Amino acid sequence: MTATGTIATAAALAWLAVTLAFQFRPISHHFPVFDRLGLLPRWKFFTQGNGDVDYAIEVRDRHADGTIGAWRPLAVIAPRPRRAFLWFPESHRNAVYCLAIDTLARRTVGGVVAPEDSHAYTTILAAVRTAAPEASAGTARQFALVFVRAAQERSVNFTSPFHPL
Amino acid sequence: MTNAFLASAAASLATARILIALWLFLATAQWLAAGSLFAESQPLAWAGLARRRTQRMLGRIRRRLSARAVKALLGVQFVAAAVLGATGALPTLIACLALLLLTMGSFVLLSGEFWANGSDKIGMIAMAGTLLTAIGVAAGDAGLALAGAIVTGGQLTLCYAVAGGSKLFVPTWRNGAELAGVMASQSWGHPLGHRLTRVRSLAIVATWTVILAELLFPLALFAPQGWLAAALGVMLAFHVATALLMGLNTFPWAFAAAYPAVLLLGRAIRMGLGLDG
Repeated sequence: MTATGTIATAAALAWLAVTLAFQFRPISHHFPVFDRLGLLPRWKFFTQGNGDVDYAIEVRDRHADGTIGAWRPLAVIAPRPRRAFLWFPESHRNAVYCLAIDTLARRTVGGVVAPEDSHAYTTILAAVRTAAPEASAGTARQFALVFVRAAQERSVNFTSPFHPL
Repeated sequence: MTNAFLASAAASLATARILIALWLFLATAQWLAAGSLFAESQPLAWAGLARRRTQRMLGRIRRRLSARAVKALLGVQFVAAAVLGATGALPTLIACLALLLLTMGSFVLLSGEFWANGSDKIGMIAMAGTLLTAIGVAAGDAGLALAGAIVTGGQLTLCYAVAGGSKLFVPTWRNGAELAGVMASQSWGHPLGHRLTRVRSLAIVATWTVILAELLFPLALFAPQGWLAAALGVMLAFHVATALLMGLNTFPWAFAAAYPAVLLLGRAIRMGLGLDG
């Protein structure tokens, strides 16, 4: 084996060892600097506690006379078509909104207020603002992030203030 | 032994490049179809991502790139994948893989966590490892070729082991409830999967089949090539099932792209242990 080959083999083995170490939260949590470039993949699929959760956004409007309308669903996450096992480009839009909803909900754990200039918040707010109005147009709109676990348990994980339309 | 390993490495490249090309066609075509996400004021508009406080340097680059630039890069990726699939000449193979790693890497960097899912990660790892192996074969350096097999085959093996092992520590996975919950959801579920996993015993059998197949996969690296190929066939069937039941349609292609490297790694292990000639 050449010197180059030996070094490359050793580096590949070292990368495997560090990847294995980073699967454990104490290490990945305390040494994030080692993964600045995002080169250490996490392989824990569907074990983070949200594999059975469906995300949804609901909106309601406040009208000029001060009345507040009913909550209604906002269709940002497209249902999976039958052809999805072959061709599913809609998965990218769905993933963006699911990630934004999940990120925003996590940031409000423990009563912490989510930053309204974060990418997750502005992504959701942009979709909220373009939602079709109720029968009569409102002057402001608020949204709520709804989690439905295993198609049964429903919880509202975040409610925004009213934003002007 | 070195020459025998290099010959195996050279032989594995033919299959690897075609499988990588097939995965890239699907992945790139899906991103092109979803290209409107990058338009101004859309969720993945890089100008929007440019406002992130913690990524100022990336922000400067993002501000200069438009949706048109994204589509152009994806077009380059598509053409490179076509060339990769069409030709087996080593210099072309190396150039295509290097270019593809550059374009994919750029997307991952510029789009942040919104770009890469598990299949993209494995696909990129397959490309990186195959590139190293190809350079090793071209240079007659068995060490480089082995490094490539470790990069791809090693990471895929680790992926399966960690996926299986992490499920073992979650009570709702062990008792089948997690699988039943996933199949009941709108996002990942399927009516047939939901009906089947409502039967508790079926849910438990399916769950433990997946856990054991994933967890025990590393042992297959020590088995003769025929057995290793059979083990990979079982895992591919699992990925096809997740594509059918959960819409994870790119996973079978991305993971299959890494399988030639797994076979090569298995060969290297058995040669090293004196089990193969």
